[in-house]
Amino acid sequence: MARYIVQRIAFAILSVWAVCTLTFFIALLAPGDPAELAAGEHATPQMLSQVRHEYGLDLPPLVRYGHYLVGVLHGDLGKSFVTHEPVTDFLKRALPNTALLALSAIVLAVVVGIAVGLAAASRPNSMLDRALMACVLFGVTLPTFVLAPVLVILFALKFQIFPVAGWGGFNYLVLPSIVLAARPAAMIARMTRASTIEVQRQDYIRTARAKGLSPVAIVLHHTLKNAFLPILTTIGVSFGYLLSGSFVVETAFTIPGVGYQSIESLATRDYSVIQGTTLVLAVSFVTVNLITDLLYATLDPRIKIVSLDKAGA
Amino acid sequence: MTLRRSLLPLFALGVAAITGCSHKGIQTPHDNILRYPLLASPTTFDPAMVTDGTTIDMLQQIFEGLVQWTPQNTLAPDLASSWTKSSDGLTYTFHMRKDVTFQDGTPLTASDVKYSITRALLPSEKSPVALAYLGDIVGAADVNAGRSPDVKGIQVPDPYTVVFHIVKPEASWIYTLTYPTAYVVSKKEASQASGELTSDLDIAGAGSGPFKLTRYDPDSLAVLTANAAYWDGAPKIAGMERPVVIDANTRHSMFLSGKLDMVDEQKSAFESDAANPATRGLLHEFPRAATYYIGLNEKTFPPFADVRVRQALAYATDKARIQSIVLKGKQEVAQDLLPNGIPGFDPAFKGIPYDPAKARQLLAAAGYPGGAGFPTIPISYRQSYPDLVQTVDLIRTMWHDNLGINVEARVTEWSVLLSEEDSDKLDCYHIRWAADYLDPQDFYSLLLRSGSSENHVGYANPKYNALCDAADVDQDPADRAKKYREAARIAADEVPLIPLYYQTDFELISPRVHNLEDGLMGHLPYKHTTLAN
Repeated sequence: MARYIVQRIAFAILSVWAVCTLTFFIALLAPGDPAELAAGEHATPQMLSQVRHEYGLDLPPLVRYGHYLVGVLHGDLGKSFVTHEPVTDFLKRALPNTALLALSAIVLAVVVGIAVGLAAASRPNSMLDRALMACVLFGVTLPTFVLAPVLVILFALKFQIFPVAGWGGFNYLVLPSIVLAARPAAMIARMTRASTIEVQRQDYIRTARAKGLSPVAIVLHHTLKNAFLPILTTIGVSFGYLLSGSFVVETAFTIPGVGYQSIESLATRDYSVIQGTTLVLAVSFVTVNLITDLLYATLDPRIKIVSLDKAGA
Repeated sequence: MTLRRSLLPLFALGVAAITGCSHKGIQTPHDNILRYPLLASPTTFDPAMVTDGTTIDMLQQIFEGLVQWTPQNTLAPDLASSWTKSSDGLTYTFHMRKDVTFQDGTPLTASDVKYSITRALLPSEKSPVALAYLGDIVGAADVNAGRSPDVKGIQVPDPYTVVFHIVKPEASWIYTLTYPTAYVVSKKEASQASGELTSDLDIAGAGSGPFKLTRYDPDSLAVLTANAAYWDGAPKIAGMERPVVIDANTRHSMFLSGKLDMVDEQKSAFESDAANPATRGLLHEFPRAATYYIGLNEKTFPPFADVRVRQALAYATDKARIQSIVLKGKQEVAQDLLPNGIPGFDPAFKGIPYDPAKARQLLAAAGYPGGAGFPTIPISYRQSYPDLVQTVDLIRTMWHDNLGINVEARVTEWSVLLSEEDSDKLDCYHIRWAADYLDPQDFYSLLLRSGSSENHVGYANPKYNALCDAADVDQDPADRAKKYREAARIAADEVPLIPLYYQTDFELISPRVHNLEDGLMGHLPYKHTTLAN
């Protein structure tokens, strides 16, 4: 178990390092001069050279890479080329908003997804099952950039139940959470249905029914418990996706989160902020997946690391 | 795939049905707060540093300069009550208003003007624009280079008089004082903030304008409150809320729901809003001092060195077709580089007309009959702007069909395009020139005079240069305009650039907004704006 944990953590660190390295060198190879961005188009050569020195842009690429890695380890992600503000200040403001949105969306997705999946699995291939799975298909395929305006038109403009956009209270959280939760809820529902149907075929479920347990007790105490492992994986992946994939939703609803900031930074080619937000999103994704892996191992003691030698043998 | 295809039209129909009946009328709030979005987060709170239009629009509510633009596009006193110019055009004396205080309560005097301009020029401030706009003041370059702490060309003979000495008698110099880098800031506030006005706390009280910044939620909202002690009388509105909304569709929806009083109108929404009874009467158009054109670089693309080739391309360009197809007839065709409304604009002037036969004749005379042997023209333009893409597509078709010339479209990332243009590397490009100030010098001398930092097409005509040089320092407005017009005719005939159309902005404005003042440079401060409730 300890070896499993160490290996998962090592993989997580490796993934974050790879993202760090990739974003650094992609920014380095991107066309355009960041110094011109920071100094402005009217900057004199003297000013450009001053800015290059200040941001360390006059150093060789590998030295800059080394400085960047050291900075990351010390929590220093550099300064914005546009506002000259530390990138960590941006992230401190934005990350809680993104996390709250992702958390509310995943709660909604889990509740709706499991409920729909269980309902569909209760009568496999019935009309109810087919109708629910059709809705799920809709949820999986409907892009957020379509769902968001449709919900705004319906619930903000026509019925005026929720605000069009903005941030600052429960009302503002509802529509973006629904939009963000739609796809993960659909995925969780599908996984719950498939996994539950599989478990329901097991002998111990038949035994439970024969013992006269109520259907609710069977689902809660026997079916769901044993069907939960693949559902947990789906939840973990979905949560990572929600943390890192809310660009469209944050932009459409004007939520000052990490995705929103990334879009603003992309528009102004603010490389340091883009690198910082990418890194934070990568760390969030990797952390959530790491926690999922560890939970998986805790919930199912049969899981252990199989070394590559043994696996190949 | 089949299912998706069959569902798609149904889905589109559903959306159309919903949107079609979504709003019978625009809701309007009943308070005295003007709500107008910022299209991006403010990049700075320091007027000495600002370069982007969104931030300038916010800072011009808070800070002021000696002079300002009027809705008639003329220059008027602002913090100055009057000014005089010496007969040689080298000295400007500004007499200041005596009733102006900063928002922190301290009186605004001539020494604050000198302090603010010196501060903007200091190398420690790192202003990207100070030298470009203030560099013609005697001693400004020395301060900017760190050779002197004092701008020798600014004198303060008494607390309410400030005198500027400039290095060249350029008649357009005074216009540079309208740019925010020349705005006056409170020495008390700016020095407390270590010389950098970087946050909402630093900026509070630092300006003298009609509104003060009372709240800023980063990346989200700026709240400005009316300055009750404003020298020109407190604004009629209680304040402004400027939410940061980067998505155009979201801004549009917020306007429809009454959360915003004014929004920019995207061309994609124009037809549906013009047809919608609820929004039809709320669409307003605002001409701007900006011209879209095609640049023909004769230094990097040898065929362009032959004037007949450039003329052929101009005769082969059907601007009316571009206006009709791409711009839906909403932008004015440009006959000249100078936009309508700027002093010196000649409404009677007609540039090169669309004449394909003459174009072919000129190209043949230049040695390329039917386009034979003519190299492919690479035309660069900014990515992600549908108007530019469609215009370039039409131009490619016109030049190919009318002249037999192949044109290769090179969509380019914005900063790369600017960088390549600055280093004169672009052979042919489609771009916009927006005025820094409303003067023909900013177009004719800056874009086409030999040696100008903005002449990126290698155009060099001694007669043109001489006319611009003479006009730039001519102190007689009528004589000056005449010289620029003469220069304009030379450029129109020799076609270093092909002007295509002038910029017009469109906005949806709530019926409750009145007395909105606008000029060719954009909306003016909202100090006279009123809201009907």
